[in-house]
Amino acid sequence: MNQLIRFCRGYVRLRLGGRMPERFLNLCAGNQIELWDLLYKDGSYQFTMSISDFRRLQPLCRKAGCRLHILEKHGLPFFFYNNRKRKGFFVGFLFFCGLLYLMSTYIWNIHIDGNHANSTNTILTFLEQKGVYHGIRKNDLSCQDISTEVRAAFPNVTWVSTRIVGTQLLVEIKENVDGYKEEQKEEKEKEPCDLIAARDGEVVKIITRSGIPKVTEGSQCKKGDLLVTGEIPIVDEAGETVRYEYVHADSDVFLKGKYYYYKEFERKYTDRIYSDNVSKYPFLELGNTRLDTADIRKKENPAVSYENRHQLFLTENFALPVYYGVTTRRGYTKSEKLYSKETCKNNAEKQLQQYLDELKKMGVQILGNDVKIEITDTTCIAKGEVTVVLQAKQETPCTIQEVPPGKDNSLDEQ
Amino acid sequence: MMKKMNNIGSSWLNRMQVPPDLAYQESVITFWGKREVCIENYRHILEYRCGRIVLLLKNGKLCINGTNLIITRYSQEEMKISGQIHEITFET
Repeated sequence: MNQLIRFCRGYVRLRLGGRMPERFLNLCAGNQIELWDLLYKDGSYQFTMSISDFRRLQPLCRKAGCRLHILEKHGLPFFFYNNRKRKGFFVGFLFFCGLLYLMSTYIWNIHIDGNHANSTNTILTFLEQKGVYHGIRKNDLSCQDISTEVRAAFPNVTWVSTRIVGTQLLVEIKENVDGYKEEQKEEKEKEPCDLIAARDGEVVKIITRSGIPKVTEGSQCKKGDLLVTGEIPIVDEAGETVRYEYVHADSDVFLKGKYYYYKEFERKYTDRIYSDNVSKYPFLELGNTRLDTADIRKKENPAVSYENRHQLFLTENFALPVYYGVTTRRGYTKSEKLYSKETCKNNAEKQLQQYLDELKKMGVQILGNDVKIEITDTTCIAKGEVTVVLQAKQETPCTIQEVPPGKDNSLDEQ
Repeated sequence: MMKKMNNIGSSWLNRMQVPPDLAYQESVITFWGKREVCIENYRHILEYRCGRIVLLLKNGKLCINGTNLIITRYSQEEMKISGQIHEITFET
């Protein structure tokens, strides 16, 4: 620290010669002039002192009959004096300091910590919607408001701490790890309805929870037939209907039906033979401008190309609109070939299996299929029927019936 | 008589808890091994050579003999000497 202060003020290394050097040193001490690194060398004394003290030495030298010779000059005053013509350097330095100070008043990194259930990108996107983004001024931020908004927006976050450290916004959150409960949606009051068949088929199974079933297991039905009715007749002691109660019919109705399957593809296909030569072309993207080392579109021979693309990040989460990467290009030659009969059969079976797997994902039970594969000279055809069991019901509003006049709507009270 | 006066004076200073270097105008010499010595409360330099430094104290002289003696810091209050110190003697 002392060294730094001396450098800032400037100091000189002097050589002392003359009649009474010791007297000179004592006069310096008596006049509160500080010396350091004083040594006796080659019959003379060398020492260092500050510039301000050096200016006071003339009367002391005269008194002691000594001569001083400047050996070295160090410090900022000498630096500024030697570079007084280099104004651009100092202007640039001042501009740099000003720019650094200006940049330090903005937020350049947003760090999210403690999040497990909510991803960092989700929280950053939310903050962006609330006007908190990379490059925002520190004075425009309110840490308390950010904490409140994050707590309100994410129900499983129990604690939020937001603070600014340097040019970084630190958001620390604690989530509820004991069990995240979904908000229970209130069930709307269901309107009365009937259930009708959504397709033709045979009723395999029917489980009714609400309403009156109109079909039984084994009965055939067509599309639009009534399966379960939501109209419940209320009868009196004589067995006559006095009124109707309407409910929301709820039932699981399983129908056996058939899907018609047809798939066709050509035996002729174009095969690609890839070459061993792989070409790589680096590229740079700045915003909407892309700089390629080669124009791939002008290449004539057919090829497959893919690119590895990376984005530049200034800080942890601050992405710049700058991308760089490499485009890899591999040429190939085309040749026309024909699938063999065995390959055709295998492909057709694979396609059928994919179709059946998709049906299973939809909850359809496959009972069997009679799909046949026909292979001609030019095409391969797979067609047939797939027997399935599936839920095929549709809700339709009940027709509210009016009670005929003369009928008592209430039950007899006994 | 003078001796009695001196004794009265020293006992009075002890009771007042006045530091002895301030009370008796004594020099304070601090050693760091044999390579550095710091001297406070001296009057001025009498002689300074590469292997010998002679200082005038309030009560006598101090001679420092050694090799490569450099006065690292020199001011009116204190002086720091570094080098290879062989001998320090007090002379009246």
